[in-house]
Amino acid sequence: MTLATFHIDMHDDNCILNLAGDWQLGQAPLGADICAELPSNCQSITLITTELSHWDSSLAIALLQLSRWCERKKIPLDTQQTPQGLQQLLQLATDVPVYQPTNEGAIGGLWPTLRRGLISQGLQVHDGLVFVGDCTLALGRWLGGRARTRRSDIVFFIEQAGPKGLAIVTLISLLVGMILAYLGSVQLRQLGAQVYVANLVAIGMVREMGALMTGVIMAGRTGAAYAAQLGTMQVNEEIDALRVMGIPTMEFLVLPRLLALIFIMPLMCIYSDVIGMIGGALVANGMGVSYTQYILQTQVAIDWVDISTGLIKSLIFGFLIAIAGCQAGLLCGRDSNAVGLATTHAVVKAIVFLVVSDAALNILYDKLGI
Amino acid sequence: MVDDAFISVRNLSVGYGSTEVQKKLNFDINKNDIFFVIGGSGCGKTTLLKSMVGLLTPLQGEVLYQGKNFYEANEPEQVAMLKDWGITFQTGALFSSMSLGENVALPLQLYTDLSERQIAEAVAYKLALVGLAGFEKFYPAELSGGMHKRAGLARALALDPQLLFFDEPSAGLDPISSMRLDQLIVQICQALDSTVIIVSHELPSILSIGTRCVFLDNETNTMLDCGDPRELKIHSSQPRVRQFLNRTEKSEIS
Repeated sequence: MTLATFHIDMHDDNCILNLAGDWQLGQAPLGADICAELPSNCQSITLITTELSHWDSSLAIALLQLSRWCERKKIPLDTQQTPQGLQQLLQLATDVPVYQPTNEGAIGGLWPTLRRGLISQGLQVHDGLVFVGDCTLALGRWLGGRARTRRSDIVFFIEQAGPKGLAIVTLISLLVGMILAYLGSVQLRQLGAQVYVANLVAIGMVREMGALMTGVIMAGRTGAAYAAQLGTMQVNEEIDALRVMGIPTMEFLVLPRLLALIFIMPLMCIYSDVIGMIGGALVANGMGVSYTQYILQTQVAIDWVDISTGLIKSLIFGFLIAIAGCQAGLLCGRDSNAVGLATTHAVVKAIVFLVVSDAALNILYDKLGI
Repeated sequence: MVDDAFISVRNLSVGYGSTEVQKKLNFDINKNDIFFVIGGSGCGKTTLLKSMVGLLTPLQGEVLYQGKNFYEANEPEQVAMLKDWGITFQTGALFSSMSLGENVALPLQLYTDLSERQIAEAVAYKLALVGLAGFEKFYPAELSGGMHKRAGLARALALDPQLLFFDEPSAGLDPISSMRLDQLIVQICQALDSTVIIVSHELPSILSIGTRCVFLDNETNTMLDCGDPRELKIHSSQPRVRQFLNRTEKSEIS
């Protein structure tokens, strides 16, 4: 194999470019290097390939650069004496002019960037509020029996969110109950009051951890799934198809998911409370508190007010998780990357919503004295 | 059948699980052929293509590429074979997280030791070849369906493949773009000394650029005929093949 080379000969103003050797990808000169060697005073270029042996697309790659260079300098390029195939490939590559973007990129600078950022943040908050509003209206229509929501969809999503998520909720709740018990017992043992572990676990689970932990699990499991499902539907133009059929996405897609979560969250929360207390009892039993003692102590510790504070939290969490998931899915872009982003947004947003609303509710409960 | 065929398909059955989509396929593809796999919708053209490019293990039989069976080759051999193939999918199958330039550059970065500048020039050329010069920085989401398809072709051409597969190249393209694509295929085939396999039911393409074709039938689940499409159009012994290539109703061909 001979090395790919090029020679430049000047005849008056005409530049003769002789391409020789084996032109193979990786071993051939770059088009830009050929252009750089050409004298600035040449008025026309003629290509000669008499000493050319094998060639692949590397030659065409270099020639395209040369032809663009000639075009910019307005110098004619004569390719008559090159192989037929090469001429064809060059013709194909130069058929369509290089695309020139018309709109300039966004203007930089601190103030414009800041302004754009603020506007987009504001728009996001606005979109979020509009979405919650639309959801509430759709919920109202559903209560009035006028929403185009299929009952089978609601049942399907309840099954997905509830029974299929029981295992993970069981595991997490049991462990959280045990963690609470350990945490309390270390302190209470110093006072010889191990039996109050039952109070701590019961109040901790029922008022706080039951709802919060199921919320976190649902955000990661169900909220993310909603965002991914709706996002993929967006990519596949399924949502466009629904829109042109005149089916409101809010009623058909969002409402079943929202209703399923609102329905399933309080149930899961109660389940999580019970499992958490069982976990607490296991630990307490290891420390010399009998099961009977533990149950009696638990009965004293919590009342219906405590249970309902937790249930109200879980209802609100369910609403927020569904909103975060569905909104992220419906606002998803049109490519696979966007689906990933939508899922991330859904989970992050849901968890932020959970913690913020949990804090707000705790303050409210405190003010109300419950 | 000739023994020095570029690709030979021997007693091939393709399908999914226990469902045989096509069976008893026997045909040869010669070097520099523009070979069409034709047949009605749902007859298993794409399934056959998937089996040929190594995505779907055949249920029975073999596909030999210059005597080598892809599914029996070891991994380095498979990679070497895949490097020689360029595959264009129905909708382009571009990586949506990468710009067009990055999409085309990917095989060059992974399989060659070209410098950044060499890759940049190669990418500019491949995109210009498919009429997308200057679109390097664009992301797939910003482009139309036809552009996706052409960009997919640019990516398939990145490594100067010896063998090019197309799945429905002109579906969804306007007649002019479709004709341009046909010309492009012919010229690439000639200039780069490649062999092309196309799954299609676009009659104008089949009859204008196809050198050979195989007709898959969805009633008998096997091939009915194989040969030059212009010949088959008139002389095929199978009425259904003539009917397909002449675009007529069943009753008009006896």
